[in-house]
Amino acid sequence: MWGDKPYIPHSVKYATEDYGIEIAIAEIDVQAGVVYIVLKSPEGVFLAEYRGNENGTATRIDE
Amino acid sequence: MANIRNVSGVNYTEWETAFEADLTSTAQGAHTFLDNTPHNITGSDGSIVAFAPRNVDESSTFALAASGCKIETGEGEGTTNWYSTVQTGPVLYARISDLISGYDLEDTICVQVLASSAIVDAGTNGAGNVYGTGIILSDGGYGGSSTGNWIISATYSFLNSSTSAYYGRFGGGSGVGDGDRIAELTGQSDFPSLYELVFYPGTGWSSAASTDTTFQDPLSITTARFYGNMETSVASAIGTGATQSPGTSPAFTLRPANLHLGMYTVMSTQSGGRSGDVATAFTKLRVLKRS
Repeated sequence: MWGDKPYIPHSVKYATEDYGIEIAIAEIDVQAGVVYIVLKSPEGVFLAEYRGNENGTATRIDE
Repeated sequence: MANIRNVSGVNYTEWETAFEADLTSTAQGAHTFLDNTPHNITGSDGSIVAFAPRNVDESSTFALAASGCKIETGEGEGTTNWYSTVQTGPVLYARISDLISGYDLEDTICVQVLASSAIVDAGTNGAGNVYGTGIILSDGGYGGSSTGNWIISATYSFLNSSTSAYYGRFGGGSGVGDGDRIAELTGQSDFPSLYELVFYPGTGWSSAASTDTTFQDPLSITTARFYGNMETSVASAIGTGATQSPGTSPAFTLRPANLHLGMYTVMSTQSGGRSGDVATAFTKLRVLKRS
């Protein structure tokens, strides 16, 4: 489902739980092999940005 | 007959239904696609369109019956996916030009499909296996080819998860990570029952999915509404580094001559052993256009 990055959905789940929201829009992009996850509210309002890690966690990078 | 309105002397065409079919109707006739043969689907206006199965070897059930068009796959089949240039999921295709008479680059089209989803058996490795299903607009490609040009409105869920995500994605490009870019709505307690894709003249598109059980007005669904652009064959930066001009008839990657509608189901093994079974029954579809 995610090619050589099967950790992406786990990182998305980690990010939403870390932020404290269950229902969110997650925009996933990959640049130079790095996974970026932008969380937005269901209405499209920016909430936070994370970097997806290969162990299925995510690191917040917008603060 | 197009529904035309006139504003200040200019005619505008409203959405019109080009093809609509009830896949649960006995009028469609029972048919198994496992023999890899196409089958004619009859629309509500009596029009007939041929639908062809692809990647049938990766399905345990691929048939038209009272429940609709059911595609089932699981541990007995190989891992399947729609990802980048990987197009191995069992899919039922029809040409858009067969569904929309006279379809051309002036038309915006909207495809809506009603479906029901089931994780039939979560198996013993639910954290490593993923169910995916949805609708696709593609160039008709399939299999593990080296190219892939498509957009989808879809859902996925790990087999052991109580929630699913609704998402939009484009496929194509051979670079590492080309298939990773997606937008998804997380934490949904039910699978979608309505999928929508809108394809604008050229390369723009929009996807949405919802739990509606009846067709909705095009572009009226607000859940998981995502937008994208699908173009790989024409330079994106016109005038600054572009090697091609836009031209009067650019060779868009997805175009009226090759655009197909598909309905697909996959079970992708991400890690560990392959276990479980999933199914989707596609029950109704309709295709609209606006000129």
